[in-house]
Amino acid sequence: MKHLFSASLAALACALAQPVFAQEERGVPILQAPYHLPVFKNEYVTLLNVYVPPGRNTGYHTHTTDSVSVNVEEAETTNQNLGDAQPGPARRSRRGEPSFTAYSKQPARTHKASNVGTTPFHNVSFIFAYPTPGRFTPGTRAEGSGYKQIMDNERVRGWRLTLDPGQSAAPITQAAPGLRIMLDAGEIVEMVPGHPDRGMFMKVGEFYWQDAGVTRAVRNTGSTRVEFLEFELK
Amino acid sequence: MRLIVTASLAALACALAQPAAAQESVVVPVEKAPYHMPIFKNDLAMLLNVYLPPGAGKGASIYHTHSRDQLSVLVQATKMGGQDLGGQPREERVGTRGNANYTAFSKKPMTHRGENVGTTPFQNIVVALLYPEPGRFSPGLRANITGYTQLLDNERVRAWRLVLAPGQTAAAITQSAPGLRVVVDGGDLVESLPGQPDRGMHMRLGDFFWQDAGTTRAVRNSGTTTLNLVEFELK
Repeated sequence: MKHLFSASLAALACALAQPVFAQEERGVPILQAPYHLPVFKNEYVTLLNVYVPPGRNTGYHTHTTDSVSVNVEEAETTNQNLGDAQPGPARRSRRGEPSFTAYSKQPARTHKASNVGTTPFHNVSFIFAYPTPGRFTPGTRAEGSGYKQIMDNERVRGWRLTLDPGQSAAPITQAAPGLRIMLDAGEIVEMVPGHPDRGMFMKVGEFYWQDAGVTRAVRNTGSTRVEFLEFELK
Repeated sequence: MRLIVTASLAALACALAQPAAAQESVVVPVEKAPYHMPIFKNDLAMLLNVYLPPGAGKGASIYHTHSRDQLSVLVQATKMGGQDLGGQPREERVGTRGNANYTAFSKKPMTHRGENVGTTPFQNIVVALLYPEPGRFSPGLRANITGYTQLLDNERVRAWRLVLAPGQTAAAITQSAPGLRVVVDGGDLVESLPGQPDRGMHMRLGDFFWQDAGTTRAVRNSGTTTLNLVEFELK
């Protein structure tokens, strides 16, 4: 009788636990995934600060919406798609590597990433909140400005700016709203016509929403190399 | 005669210097101030990450004006100097790390400048409220929930500090109004929401997260260090 009672309790516990386990196993939406922290959202994007310490994993989560992601630190991770028997081979993510994925045009992707290295996996991503492009026209940043174009697709245009100490980038005009993501920390001054020069200190992995309509030049006033990526939305 | 010439020259020098001095004291809104970085804004709030490395702001002539009601959390403290516009230099002082403050600048704006005269960075997370009047939301209550201590409760905001030792859990609370979480001491935590799998998170000093209303969550410190978070809900 005692055994029967214990078995019934165990069965009940399993039945109650099943919905949560089942959800864990089929994956949660990316905005609810472990170590994927939504920092803010506006009408255009949700920004995720993805920070997975060594030895941890993200659990299965599902991507359904177009997104851009930037690795801000090097890390070694494995990836396992839902249904795969094993994770794939370890892969070293490169610092500063940006990627765009049109998840809205693909079948939903559910996967789990595991940090199998000794450094944190740190990635800053933004997920589009509006379904189709065409709201904005990003600017162009001439070769001589110092900006190097790294991405230009149906949803976003992106550039990399690297400045050595004392170096300046020529003025550009931000034509569409977007984001700046820092890769190498340091001190810069922004120069906007009609405004006093503005000093800023920026750290690795920081991000800033940037409204459209600003013309700015940038000078590295620190003693270290500064590197960041900037994106303008379409 | 010599005295008259000297006096005239001095008067001329003062007259010429005046526009330059006036130009030197430039005043900008806080969101355009040096080292005050707007991270994001939505229809409710604008978040500024104020980060001054040692020496930043010293001798600067740019002042900035606070004119919106604002909350702030001091996440890195150091010796700071500064000056109100038209005033004398302030006494240098070190704030208390982790302190949360609210100031109704909409009722009494302030124009000042700050300078880091210490040897470590100064970092303050500032949230300026973009809607002029309270009354849009009703924050929840977290009384008698182990770990939470209420810090502020005024016309615009209610705020709590959550301190959790390793292994400690704060029972479930419901976030009734939108707001923000600011990390004073980071670490590992797990959030538990009804009907959802537990969710691990790693948070670092100075991190911040917008939190929508409507979530019920318990929080467990799953790491090896004490967590110290400040959470606000808007009114």
